[in-house]
Amino acid sequence: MDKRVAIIGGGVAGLGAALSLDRYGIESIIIEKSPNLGGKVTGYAQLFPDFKDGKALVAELIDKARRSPRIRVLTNASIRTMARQDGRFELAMTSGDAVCADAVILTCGFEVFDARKQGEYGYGVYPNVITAPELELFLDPEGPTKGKLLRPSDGQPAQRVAIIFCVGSRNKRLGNPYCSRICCSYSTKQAIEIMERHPDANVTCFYMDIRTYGRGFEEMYQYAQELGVKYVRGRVSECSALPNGDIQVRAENTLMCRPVQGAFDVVSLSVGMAPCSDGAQIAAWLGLELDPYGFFQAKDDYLSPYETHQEGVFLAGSISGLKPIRDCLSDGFSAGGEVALYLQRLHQGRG
Amino acid sequence: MNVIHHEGRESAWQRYVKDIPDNNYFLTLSCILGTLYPGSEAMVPKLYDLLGLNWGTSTDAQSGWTCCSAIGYHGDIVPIEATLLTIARLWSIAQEAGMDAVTPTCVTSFGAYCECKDLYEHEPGLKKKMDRLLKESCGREFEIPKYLVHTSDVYYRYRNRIRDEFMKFQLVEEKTGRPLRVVDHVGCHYSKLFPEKHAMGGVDYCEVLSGMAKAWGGENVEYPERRHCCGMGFRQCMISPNRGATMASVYKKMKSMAPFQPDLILTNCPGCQVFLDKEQWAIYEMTGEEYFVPVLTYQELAGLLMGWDPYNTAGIQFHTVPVEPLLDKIGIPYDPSKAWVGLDGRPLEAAAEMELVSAGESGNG
Amino acid sequence: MAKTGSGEKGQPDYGWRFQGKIVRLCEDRSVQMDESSHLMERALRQMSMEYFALDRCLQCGICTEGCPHTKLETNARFSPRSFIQKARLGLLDLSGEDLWLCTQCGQCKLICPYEIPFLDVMISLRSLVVEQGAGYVPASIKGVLSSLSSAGNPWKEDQSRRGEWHADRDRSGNTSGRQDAVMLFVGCLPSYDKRAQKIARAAAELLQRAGVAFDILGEAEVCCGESALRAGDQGTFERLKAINTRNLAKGGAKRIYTLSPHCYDVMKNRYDGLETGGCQVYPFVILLHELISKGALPVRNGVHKRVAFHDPCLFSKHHSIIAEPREVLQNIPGIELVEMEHSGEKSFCCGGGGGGVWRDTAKGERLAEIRLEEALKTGADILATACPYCLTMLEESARGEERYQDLKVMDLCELLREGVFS
Repeated sequence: MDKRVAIIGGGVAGLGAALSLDRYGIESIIIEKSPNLGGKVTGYAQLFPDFKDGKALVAELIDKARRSPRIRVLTNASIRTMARQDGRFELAMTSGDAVCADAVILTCGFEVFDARKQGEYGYGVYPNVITAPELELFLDPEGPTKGKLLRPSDGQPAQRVAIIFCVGSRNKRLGNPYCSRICCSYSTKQAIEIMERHPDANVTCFYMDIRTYGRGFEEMYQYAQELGVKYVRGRVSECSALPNGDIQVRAENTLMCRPVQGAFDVVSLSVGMAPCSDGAQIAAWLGLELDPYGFFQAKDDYLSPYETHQEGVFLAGSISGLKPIRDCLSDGFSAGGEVALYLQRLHQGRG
Repeated sequence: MNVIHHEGRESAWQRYVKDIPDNNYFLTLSCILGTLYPGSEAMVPKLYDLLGLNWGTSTDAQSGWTCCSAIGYHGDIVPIEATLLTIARLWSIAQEAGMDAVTPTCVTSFGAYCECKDLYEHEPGLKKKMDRLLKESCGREFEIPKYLVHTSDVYYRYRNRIRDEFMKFQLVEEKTGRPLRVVDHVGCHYSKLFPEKHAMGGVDYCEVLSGMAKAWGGENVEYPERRHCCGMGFRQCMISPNRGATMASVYKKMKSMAPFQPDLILTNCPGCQVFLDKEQWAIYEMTGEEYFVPVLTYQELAGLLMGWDPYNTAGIQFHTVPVEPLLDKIGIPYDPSKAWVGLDGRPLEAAAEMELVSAGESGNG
Repeated sequence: MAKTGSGEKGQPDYGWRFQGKIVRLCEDRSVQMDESSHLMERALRQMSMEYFALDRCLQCGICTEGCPHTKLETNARFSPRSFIQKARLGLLDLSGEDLWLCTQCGQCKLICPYEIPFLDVMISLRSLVVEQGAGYVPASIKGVLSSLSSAGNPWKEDQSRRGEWHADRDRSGNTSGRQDAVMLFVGCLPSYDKRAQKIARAAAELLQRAGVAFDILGEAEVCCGESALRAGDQGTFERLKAINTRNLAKGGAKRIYTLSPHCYDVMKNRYDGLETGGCQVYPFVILLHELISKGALPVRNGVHKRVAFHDPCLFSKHHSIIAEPREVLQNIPGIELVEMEHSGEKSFCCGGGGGGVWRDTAKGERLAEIRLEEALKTGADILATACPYCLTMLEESARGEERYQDLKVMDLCELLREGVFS
C-alpha cells in the first residue's frame, strides 16, 4: 500500500517506530527539529543497568534507518502547523515543505526539569552545582573533559561528589508530585561510573527511596555499594557555597535520625521529567488532551497503550512519561505494529 | 569572595517580584524596636517626609493603632481570632485615614498581616464573621488590603532615589574603594511565610535587603547559613530555658559567615536586629569567640549613609556590637563624646546618678 | 568593648542572664561527613570485604526487631541496623559502649534476608579496638583478656587448681589411657566458680553412674579462648587454642564433650587441629541424650516440678540443638515441661555471650531480667539451662529478688542428677 506515516521526533522511540514500520513495508518520514537524529541517547555513553554503549546503540539505529529506502528523514525541521483533513494529516513545515501522512506517531520525548525552580539547591547560582545531564557530559569519554569530572568553579578534579535524588520530582510544592521513574537508576549508574574511574572518590547519594526495580537493576545498586558509593537516606534541604566554591549540603540521615552535613566538590542534581516543550502546541493542533502535568495520554494504558483518543495519532516513548531506554525502543517497535494494523484496516476500509 | 554566577543570582530572585505601591502608607511601629534601637523607627517618618510621600499614622488615644498582638499569638497566649480582630481594626484605622498600604516596621506584624489575609482567602465565611465582631466590638468596618507592604519594601522601592538624591556616603571602604561585604538577614516572617506572594525576591535569594546593599555600593555575601533563622522566635527567647536555642542559632550563623569576613549585617526585622546584635556578646562571654560584626537596621544604614547624625538621629550608641568601626571604614564622621548626651547637653550617666542622689536626699521616689 | 548595659561592676547584664541563671548554649546535633569519616568508611569496608556485609545490607531493620537489646527500655537505641548504617558512612563511634553491648546471640544473623554475618563484623570491629587500640574497651573486658593471656583463665587463678573440683570425687571411674575413655572438657566456670562447680560434679557423677570412662585435662586445660575470640583478641585466642589442641592430642581421646556450649562452639568451628587429629567434639548434653536413649542412664526418681528450659543461644541459634535437651528432661519422671515465650531458635538471650558475662550491667538494664519474667509467666518452678554462662546470668539477676524467690535456676546436669540419684 502507499500509506505513509509521519513520525514526529527522531529519538530512539521514533527510530524504533520507523524501523518497525519498515519491516511491514510501510513508508515513514521522521521529522526531527534538531540537526541530529538520536535524541537524548546520543549523549549517554553508558546505559543502565548493563552499561551498554548508548552512542553505539543510537548509531546502529540511525544506520539501519538511513539504509532503508522507505524511511525518509527530515532534520532541522520544525512544524509550522498541523491539521487533519479528509482522514489524512497535513503538516506544513516552516521551511515551506508540506508533508502528508495517513497516520502520525508522536515520539517527542521529554524535557528535563528546570533545576533553577528549586532555588534552595543553588543551580545557576553556585557554579559547582550541576544537573545530571551535565554530569553525563563530564563522564563522557568523548566529551569536553574526556571523561574527567572537574569542578566547574576552578577546573580542579572533583573528588567529593554528592548526587541528589528527586530534584523536581515527588514534590507537590513545585507542582510535580509524580515520580520520574528512572532517576534512581541513572544516578546509580553515574555514581558507579565515577567510582570505577576514581576508586578514591567520595560519592554520596542523598535519596528518598531507591527505585531501581527490575531485572539487573537491583544488581546494579548492589554493585554501586560494593564499589563504595555511600547512600544517605534523607532529602537535601539546601546547598550553599563555601568561600572556596565547595558546596555544603545539608540533609537529615533519617536512618540515623541525625542531621548530616558535608562539603562537596560537585553536587549533581538528578533532575526529573517535564513534558516536551512542543507538547501543548501539538496537542492543540491534533485535538488531544494532556494530563494535568502536560504529558500525553494513551487511549487506554492497558489495552491501547499506543493509541490516543484521536484516530490515526499514536504515541511511543517518553512523551507519555519518562521510561528506560529499552522501554522507549519497545514502545517504538510496538507502535509501529499498531500503526501497520491501523493502516491495513484503513486500506481495507477504503476498498 | 563568593564563587557565584551573578547572572544566575539575579535571575533567581526576579521570579518573585512583588508589586509595591509607591505612596499612601500607614505607618505602624514595632513593640520592641523603639525601645532598643530608637533611632530606627524615628527615622522612618523623616524619610517618608524627605521623599514627599503621603503617609499617615494615628496617635489618637481613642482610635490609635495598637500592638498587632502577633507577639502574643506566636507566644501561644493569644488565639488567632483575637489577632485577626486586632489586625482588622488596624486595617480599618488605616483605611479610614485613606491609606492603601499599612507599612509596619515590624516583620512579625507583617507576617501576621500576611497570615490573616491568607486566612481570609482560604476560610469561607471568616470575613463575614470578622465584620460582625469588629462592628460589635468597636463599631468599625474594614476591607482586606490590596497590598501588604513592609517598611523595608518602601526603602527597597525607593533605594535608588534615596541614593541619588540624598546619600552622601556609600557602602564602600573609603581608603581602598573596596565595596563593603554586607550580610543581609531577612526576617523569617517576611520571606518564608508566603515567599511567592509577599516577599520581594522570594525566599532563597530574597532581594529586599540585598537590593538595598547593592544599590548603595555594597557587595552581598552568600554564606551557607544565610537563610537560617536568627533564633529569636518568641517561644525561644522569651522563655529562659529555651534561650540557648536562640543563642545557638546566632552562633551558627556567625560561625558560618565568619570565613567570608563580612563588614556588617543588615536586618529588616526588629527581633533579628536585637538578637544578632546582643547574642554576639553573649557568645563571646560563653565561648570566648569574637565575632563582633556590627548589625544595622536598614533604617539606620540609610540614615547613616545619608549623613544623619549617628548618635542623635541614628542612635548607634544603643548597639551592643560597636558600630563606630564601621563608620570609620565608610568615612562617616562622628564625635564619641556626643554619644550619651541628653537634650540639655549634659552627659546622661551623670544625670542619672544625680537623680538618684537627689531622690535619696529629699525622700522623693 | 561596647559601653552598653550596666550591672555589677564590670559584669554585663543583657538579659540572657535571666534572673541570674546562665542559659546553656545548645549544641549542634548534626553529623559532619568529612574526610575522616570517608577514611573510616574505607577502612571498615576493607575490613569487611570478606563478608561484604557493609554492601549487602538493605537497611530493612529486621535484625533490630530480633535483637534482644531493643526489648530493654534503656538499650532501645542499640540496633544492629544502625550499626551497619553508621559503619557504611564511616560515622561509627568506636569510643562508645555500643560495641560491647552485643552478646553475639546470633538472632540478627538468623533472620537477616541477606545472611549478613553480623557476629563476624562485631568481632572484627572489636579486634580493631582491642588489638589496635582504636577505641574504648571496658575495664572488665581488659581485665579478663589480660588474665586469659597470662593465666589461661579469667580470674588469674592458679593453673594447678583447675582440676580441684574433681579431687574429692571417687576417681575410680577414671583410667587414663583407656581406649574408650572420653575427654570431658570442663571449661573455666565449672572448674573454678563455686556455683558452676556443681555442674561439673553433677556431670561427673552422671558419667560414673552410666559407667562411662572419662578423663579431664585438669591442669593441662586452659580456657577454650571463646571469650578472647568474641572480644576480638585474636592473638590470645590463638595461643590458648594451641595449648588446648596440643594437650588434647596428647590425651589421645577421640571424643571430646564440653560442659559449655561456648567451648563447644569454638572448638567445633575454630579448633581446626582437632578434626585433623581425628577428634570429634560434642556438647555434653548430646552424650546424656545418647546414654539415656541407650538405657545406660536410668532415670527413676520423680521430680514433680514444672520446668521451663532456656535454650542457650549457642545451642539453638548456632547449632540447631533444640530437641535433645528437652528430650533429656522429658525422661525425668514427673517433669512438666513448659515453653517460654521465646524458645528454640527464638530463645531470648540471657546476656552472657559476647563478653556480657564479664561486664557489670546495672539492674533494670539486664536481658536476664526479661528472661526471668518470661519464666515467671509460665508458672515454672525451675528454669533449667545447659550453659554455665546462662546459669550465672540468670541466677545473679534472680538472687535477692523477692519476685523470683520461688523460681530455681538449675543446670540440666543438676536436674538430671536429681532424677538419677535418690
